[in-house]
Parts: sequence; C-alpha cells; structure tokens
Amino acid sequence: MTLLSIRNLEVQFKHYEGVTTALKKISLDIKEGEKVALVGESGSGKSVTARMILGLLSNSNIKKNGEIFFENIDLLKESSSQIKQIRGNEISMIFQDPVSSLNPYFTVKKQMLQALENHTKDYDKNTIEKYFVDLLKDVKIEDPERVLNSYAFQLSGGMAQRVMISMALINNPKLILADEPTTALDVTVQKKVLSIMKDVISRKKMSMLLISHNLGVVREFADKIYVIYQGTILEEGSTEKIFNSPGHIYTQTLLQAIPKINSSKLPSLDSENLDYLSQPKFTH
Amino acid sequence: MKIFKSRGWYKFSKNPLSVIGLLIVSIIVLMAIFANYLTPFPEHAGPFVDIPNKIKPPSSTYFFGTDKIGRDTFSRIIFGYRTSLYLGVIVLCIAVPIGTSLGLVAGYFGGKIDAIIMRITDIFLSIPPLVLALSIMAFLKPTLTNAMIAVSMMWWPWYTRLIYNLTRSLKNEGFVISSKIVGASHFHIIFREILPNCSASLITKITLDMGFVILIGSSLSFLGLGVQPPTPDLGTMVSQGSKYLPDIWWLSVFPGLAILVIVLGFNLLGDGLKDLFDVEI
Repeated sequence: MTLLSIRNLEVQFKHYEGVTTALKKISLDIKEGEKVALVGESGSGKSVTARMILGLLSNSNIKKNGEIFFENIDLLKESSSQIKQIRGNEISMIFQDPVSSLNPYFTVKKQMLQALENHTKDYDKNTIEKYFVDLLKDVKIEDPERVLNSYAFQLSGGMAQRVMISMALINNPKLILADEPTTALDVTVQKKVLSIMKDVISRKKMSMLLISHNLGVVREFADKIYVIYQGTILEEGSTEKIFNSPGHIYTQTLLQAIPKINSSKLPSLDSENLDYLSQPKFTH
Repeated sequence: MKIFKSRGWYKFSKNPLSVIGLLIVSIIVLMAIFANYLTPFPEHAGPFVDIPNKIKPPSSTYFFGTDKIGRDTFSRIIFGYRTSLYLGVIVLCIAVPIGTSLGLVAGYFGGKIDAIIMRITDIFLSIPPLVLALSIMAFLKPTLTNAMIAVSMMWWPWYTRLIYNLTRSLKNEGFVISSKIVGASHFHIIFREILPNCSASLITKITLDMGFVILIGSSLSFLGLGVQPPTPDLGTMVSQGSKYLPDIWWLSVFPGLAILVIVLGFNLLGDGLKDLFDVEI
C-alpha cells in the first residue's frame, strides 16, 4: 500500500529578482516498508522536497501547487495544528549535522522525554527509561545509561547521529525522512551508521525517504531510486535497474562520475554542454 | 568545598580582579542583609536625633563621623546599601522578564511582530537613560517605588535587544528545527529550547547591570527624585553632604566612595562571568 504519494508538486520561491522554481511538478511514491532514495546534485531540490513533506516551508513568499498525500490526508491542505500532530509522531526526520541537532543545555534523556511528551502525556514513568535504553541498544550503543545522561558535546559525531536516529524512532513513526544523514560523518562511521539505520528500519517495518548525493550510500540502502535534477525527476526505478541499466543520459553521467581508484583524473559533470532536461524521462 | 575544585571556579579565579569583585559583592550583600546586627548604631537609620554628638569627625566610635543631627555615617551607609540593593533587585526583576520575553517573541516570530516590538525598543533606546528616568519622575511623586518604576522603564529595552539578537541566531540552530519537527509548540521552543541557551549572556548582563542600576538610582536620589529622607540612601547622603564641603568632608566623601565600591564590585564580578561564560554583551 502506498504510504506517501507526492503528485505534481510545484514549489516556487518569490524573491527580489523574480521567481525561482525549486520543484517542477514532481511525483513520488513511497510504499509501506519501502526504502526510497532521492538522489541529485546540490540545489536540485532534494531538501526542499523533505521540508515540504513536513510543512516546514510555510511562508507567504513560497508558492506551492500539487498534492502530498500521507495515508490519504493531503498535507498541503491540513491546518498547522494537525501537521504538528503528524510531525514526530507519524513522520520524523534525521538531519545532516547530529551534534547541532541536540540542544547543548539538556541531557539526551531529557530531550528524548520531550520528544515523547509532545505527543503523549500518559506513559509509565518507571518503564520509560527502560524503553529509551532499548531504543539506544537498537542503534548499537553499548553503554546506553551513560549516553542517556550525557550532553551533546560529550558524544562523538557517529554516536550523536545514532542518538538522533533513536530519537526519530521514539513515537514509532511510519515514515522517516533522512536528509543526508551521513554527510557529516567520516567514511568508516558512515558505513556503520547506515547499516544500523537500515537494520532498525527494516526490523520495525518503517518506510524511509533517504536524501543523498552519494550514490554509494544509496546503492547499499535503497530499494528504489528517484534521480532529481534542477527540480525535475529524470529517472525512477529499482536500485538494480538504475545501477545496471541507467536509462537517462544524466543518470549515466552521474554513475560515470563516481571517482574510481584506478583512474588518473577526477571525473566531472559537463552540465553546460548538455541539456539534460530536454531528454526523455525514464520510468523503469 | 566541591565548587572550588571545579573547572568553572579555576577559570573564574585565574583573573584575580573577578575574585575581588566577588568578595566585594558578597561582603556588601551580607552586610546589607545583617545590617541590624553588624552596624554600631542601627537606630540611626531612622528618624533619630543626637544633637550633642553632631558633626563629629571620623573616630573609633564613629568610623565615618556623624552628620548634622548626630547620626553615624557608617551605619547609615550600610543601611544605604540595603536600599540600593533593594532597588537594583526589584528593577531587574521587572526589567529582565519584560525585556527578555519581548526579545524572544520578536526574534522568534519575526515579521510584523518583530518590526513593532523592535521599533518601540529603538525609541526607548534613543532617549538618554537618565533623561528618560527624569522625565518619568517629573510626572510621579519622588518615592522609592516610583524611582523603581522609572528605572525599570528605561532598562528593559537593553534586554530586548540582547535577547532579540541571540534568538535570531538561535532559531536557525539544528536543535530548534529538530524540536519543531518532533512537533513541539512555539511556547516550548521559545522557553525550553532558546531561552536556556541565552542564560549565560543573561546572567552576565544582569550582574554587570546591577552596578549601573544602583548608580542610576543614586543619581536620581542625588537630584532629590528618589528615596526621601530619613530612609538612608547613598545618593541622598552625597547630595546633602555636598552643601558642607569641604569643611565637613566625611558627609559626602564616604557615601560617594561607598557607591564607587559597590559599582566596581559588580563590574569586576560581571567581567569575570563574561570571561567564564565566554559571551559578548
């Protein structure tokens, strides 16, 4: 069953010099239990998509058209109080920079409690700590008791990101949005955090939208890939199909641009010479 | 004591001036609280007349001499500290919450609310503080309560501006956005996420301001617009004593020095806290 369905979403930013179209009628589907990746360069509209889903971009200078259906509710038409109910409860988000996503003035435990209390007030005070410890154990944190009583600056980047993942899981959401969750981490930790995240999400049967510019990350993680370029989705398909037989010329160039250890020069995207948008779009 | 072994104390005590500030402030506060037991003549704080002992120069009985009606200047200075601290605490208790909440609201919501609050703040800030306090006092009866109201009225805009600037930068921090995403209310974000992160700057500014509020309060009473006799007040004592300078010098010199010491104490302490918290005011 389809959990999240974006239909012809168009987002325009009005500013001093005119209008910029960030998303040009994109459509995207996430089924229950599916891990979907949205891949593109910087400025292609990946993060805008995530922010639109959570209703974080609401400003009189932002024009939006289209529909975002989450379990048959149109998120773009809901009132802000109803969206608040959905945020954190049914959809939650993991950010790029884990350390700054934690408030430096409170311990991890306090912040986990707050995330919980935003949506429910009746929980058993005696067992709640056990629940937090279990959540932290799920993301392979070895000494959960110490981490619960730590402040953000006492944790390493990888640990903080794992704490953020477990905080996103507190209310058992159906969908998790991850906006470049491993960009701030170094390569070895990246791999560990990714496999932990994949493991937890598969086990809890949640759906996920992974936003990334890193094709290596996407290949290991996602079931389905959307390739986005300048606010347009150029190609969509299962991970296998996209990697084995990329249809769109942009996807092909992207895959060629992955740095290889035996090549002498760094590959680059020659986007000035090619008009990717005029090429036909691919759906596998 | 555990606190003297902490990292904070080590950082604070590296600058001897801030320790001196802390000492001055704690001694003055303790003396003001226990003035009834510590001063040689506590009854001299009220309406008291002792004509045989009038205008005595400093001696072992009267440390700082006596005034025209025979009251001990030393006892009256200690009770004057009590009045000054009382004024400082009340003024900041009024000005800080008002200024802080206006700054938080303006900085967090932005837009029209921001424009309205900050323009009003700018208007208040554009008038020199003492002139504003004097013009407010011109409408009110010169009493301690009214002096507090007048000083509070001129003090809150500074907090609005400080907290406004902090809020503007804090509201785009990751933890504010992520608490928005977990469905937190505006109230929660403003008071539980942003405000705690302003506390270092707030504490430092409050400490530094104590000295300045006391100074402004003394200026008002020096001009006869603040505390009225016979309640002992440092500003009033300086102004009354100045009529007899230079012959009866102790009547105004000692209260003047007393103002200097308390303002200096709070300033040194505030500077120490500023270094400790590493904040810009």
